[in-house]
Amino acid sequence: MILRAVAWPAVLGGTAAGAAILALCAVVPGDGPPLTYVRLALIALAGAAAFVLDEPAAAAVAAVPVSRPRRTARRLVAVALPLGVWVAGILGVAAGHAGTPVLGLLAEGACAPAVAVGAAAALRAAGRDEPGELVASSLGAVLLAVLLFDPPPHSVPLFPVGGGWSASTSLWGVLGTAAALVVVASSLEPRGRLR
Amino acid sequence: MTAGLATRPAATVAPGALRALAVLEARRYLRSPLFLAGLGVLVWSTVVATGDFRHNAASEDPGDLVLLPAFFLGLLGVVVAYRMTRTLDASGEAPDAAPSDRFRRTAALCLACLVPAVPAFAWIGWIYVALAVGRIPLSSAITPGARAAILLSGAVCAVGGPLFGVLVARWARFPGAGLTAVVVLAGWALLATVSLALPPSRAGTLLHLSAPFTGWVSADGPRRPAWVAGGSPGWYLAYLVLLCGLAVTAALLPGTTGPRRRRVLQVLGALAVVAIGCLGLAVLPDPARVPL
Repeated sequence: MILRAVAWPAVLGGTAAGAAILALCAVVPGDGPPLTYVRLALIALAGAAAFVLDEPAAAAVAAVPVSRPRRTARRLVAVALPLGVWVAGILGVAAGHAGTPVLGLLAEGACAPAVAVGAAAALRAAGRDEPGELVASSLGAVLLAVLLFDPPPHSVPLFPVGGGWSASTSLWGVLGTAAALVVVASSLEPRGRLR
Repeated sequence: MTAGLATRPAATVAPGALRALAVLEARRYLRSPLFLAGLGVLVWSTVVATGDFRHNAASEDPGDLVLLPAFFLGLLGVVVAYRMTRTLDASGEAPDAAPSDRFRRTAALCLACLVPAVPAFAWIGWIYVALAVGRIPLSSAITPGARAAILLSGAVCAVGGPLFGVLVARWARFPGAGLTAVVVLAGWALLATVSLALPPSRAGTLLHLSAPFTGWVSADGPRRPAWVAGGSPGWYLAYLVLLCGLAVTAALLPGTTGPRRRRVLQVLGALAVVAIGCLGLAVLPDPARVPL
């Protein structure tokens, strides 16, 4: 029931854009994996995940006898869609391009949507019922800037190309864990509310 | 009753309404956090890049820096203008009650998109001053006119991005359309760079210059000598200006009816034909690459 309330057009739109880019990456021949384009797909998929917590009818939903943590948990099921597309896409790219760093890319794909959901959860807790648009555009802009300009420190790159994969995976792990904690903390029922 | 409502003439609009609306929208644009953040990063990255001019003179041209205004004012501007347009629409029936029609509101939004042109032109001035003050030797592979056209294309991208944002908000109704537009623009520009890895040809130049943003200097490898891609920067600049015109005209289309709609469609068609012509002229010169 709660899954029906998810902003599916936004989630499906972003996921479809990511899937199309990944499909192109998998079939286009090349010496190595087209990592820049693969990361472009990641931005679209993270943007799709940002809409999972959007609640256009927040006032009505707040009155239903389902706790906030449970509602959040059910909505998070929708993140499986962009995640599944990412996993399938990376396996497809790896099949077509030898030397694809599968584990590092899977870590990026798991943590970037987590960061998007974490930011959306924090904004929702701050009173914004539909944080998806803001989070998707802001996070998308930041990730795109990092992807195109490759800012320092190069010892811990967010989007590595040659080396630095283990440092990058650690960085994504920290970001993903922090985002998960934010989701949990901001999804708790406020004190004094019906459990 | 319904027929009466349908044939009711549009609300009378005061002569200065468009100007007043445009000023209001320009103020909203100026207050956008994303615009201000992009402007801050543009200033910082330009200071850093101009400091490295002398060091990188052999492998780079100042024209390479057009990515900075194109990204920080143009691509981020897509999101700024998209959100401005959507928030105006989200205010429900209130805008419809105002003494201004949808056509004028869209026109005002498009005029507000000129805001990033001011820092973009200031950025070009900064580049020329830094070149003059530092007495940086410039490669003769790019003529001064072509370099000016390349730098001006960055300013056009800074305006074109927001105009594309208004266009997307007017036509695409699903949430997340703003980010999708950004991904499409970035993907298109990245796809165009594929041609730089192929042997020079007119088809490759067409792919390279069809994108709404492009770089002109590249190399065959990290330590290989740099070269300038084929094509005419001047005609490419004209093509970009016409793309901006197309974005404005297409954004105005949803709010028009009757004879006005016919006129807008005629302008749209004419601009499209001229834009294709300019792209053809940009591709026409020898596609051979010139060492920097």
